[in-house]
Amino acid sequence: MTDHPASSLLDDYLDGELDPTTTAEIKRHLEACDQCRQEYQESLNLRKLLKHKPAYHPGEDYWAESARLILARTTATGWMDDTIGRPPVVSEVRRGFYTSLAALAASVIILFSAIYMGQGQSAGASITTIDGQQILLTGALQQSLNDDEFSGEQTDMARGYLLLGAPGMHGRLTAMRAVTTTTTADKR
Amino acid sequence: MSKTVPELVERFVQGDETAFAELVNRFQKRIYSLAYQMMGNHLDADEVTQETFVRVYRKRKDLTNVNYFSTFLTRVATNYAIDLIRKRRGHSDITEDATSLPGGVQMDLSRQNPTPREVFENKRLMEEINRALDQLPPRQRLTAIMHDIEGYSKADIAAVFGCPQATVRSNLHIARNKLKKILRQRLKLKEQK
Repeated sequence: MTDHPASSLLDDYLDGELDPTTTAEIKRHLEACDQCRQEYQESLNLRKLLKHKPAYHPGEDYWAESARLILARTTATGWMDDTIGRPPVVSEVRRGFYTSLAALAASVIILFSAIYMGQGQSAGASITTIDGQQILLTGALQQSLNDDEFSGEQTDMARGYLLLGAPGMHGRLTAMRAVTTTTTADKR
Repeated sequence: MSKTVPELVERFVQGDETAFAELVNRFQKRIYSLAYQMMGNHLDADEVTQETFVRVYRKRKDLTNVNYFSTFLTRVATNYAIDLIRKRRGHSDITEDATSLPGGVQMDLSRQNPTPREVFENKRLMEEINRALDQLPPRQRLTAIMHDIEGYSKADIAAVFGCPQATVRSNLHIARNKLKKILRQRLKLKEQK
């Protein structure tokens, strides 16, 4: 080969897509021609650079989540797990079941809350504030008040927040004042 | 015994949703990898992957030949990516730093334990390559990525784009020359060993 090969031919040589005869000719030419060898070297360097371009591999969790979302957006069974996009298509019977289940859960929570508050009030005691109001204390606050380990105004404020039986914000503030006053009096 | 891809595709076209789920599991990594190289960031790659499978599901009746599922899938992915690239033009500052992405990032570099200086140099180099690829028209960019990064053959690329192999060869040649020109100035390509 006396003429310079076309640069597209050098690309084919780089990709190994030439027949053996042409490949041998190009090889001989590259050994003899600085200009073509330089061009070929640049193509080789570019290919190395591109080969080293980093890939991003999300963790295994991503693939499971990605597949779940795809199925949620397409298949009927996937809809049942869908939390993103369109609402799931559920039958009236199933919808009724879920509503009943939610109502039952709410009832249980309310029942246990009432029992807890009732226990707190019965186990605790009442204190009289400096302006003569009776405030109910929970068991936790009662125990806290009797514990010598706690002291200081900030701790007393925190104890005040434990009060559950106080009537609204005014009652809580009054109770906190009462607690602070009690503690201050004790220290004296 | 696991089913072959054509078997799964046939069942999927007939409405078997478990077959579709299996196809998603088998092909989502490949589509994501291509999408990441095309888009240059995780969020867009994720969008391309999701949309590709959703569109394929909706167009399953168009799958007349079950042996071309992979080509069909890749064609949908590249078409969506090209649309997204065109849409993103002018908003190209969304490219993420691959090293700062959360969750199991691995960079395929030649050395397993590069020094901090090499990490810095590699990062700079990757940014240069991404910027160079961004300057190519979408079809040339995809051809270069699919052939020189993802390892698709020219025949596969021609099937995906629905064009003759000679067109792919020409696109690849033009893309490489442009990349060499851009990177030669910025990276002094000639001096690399």
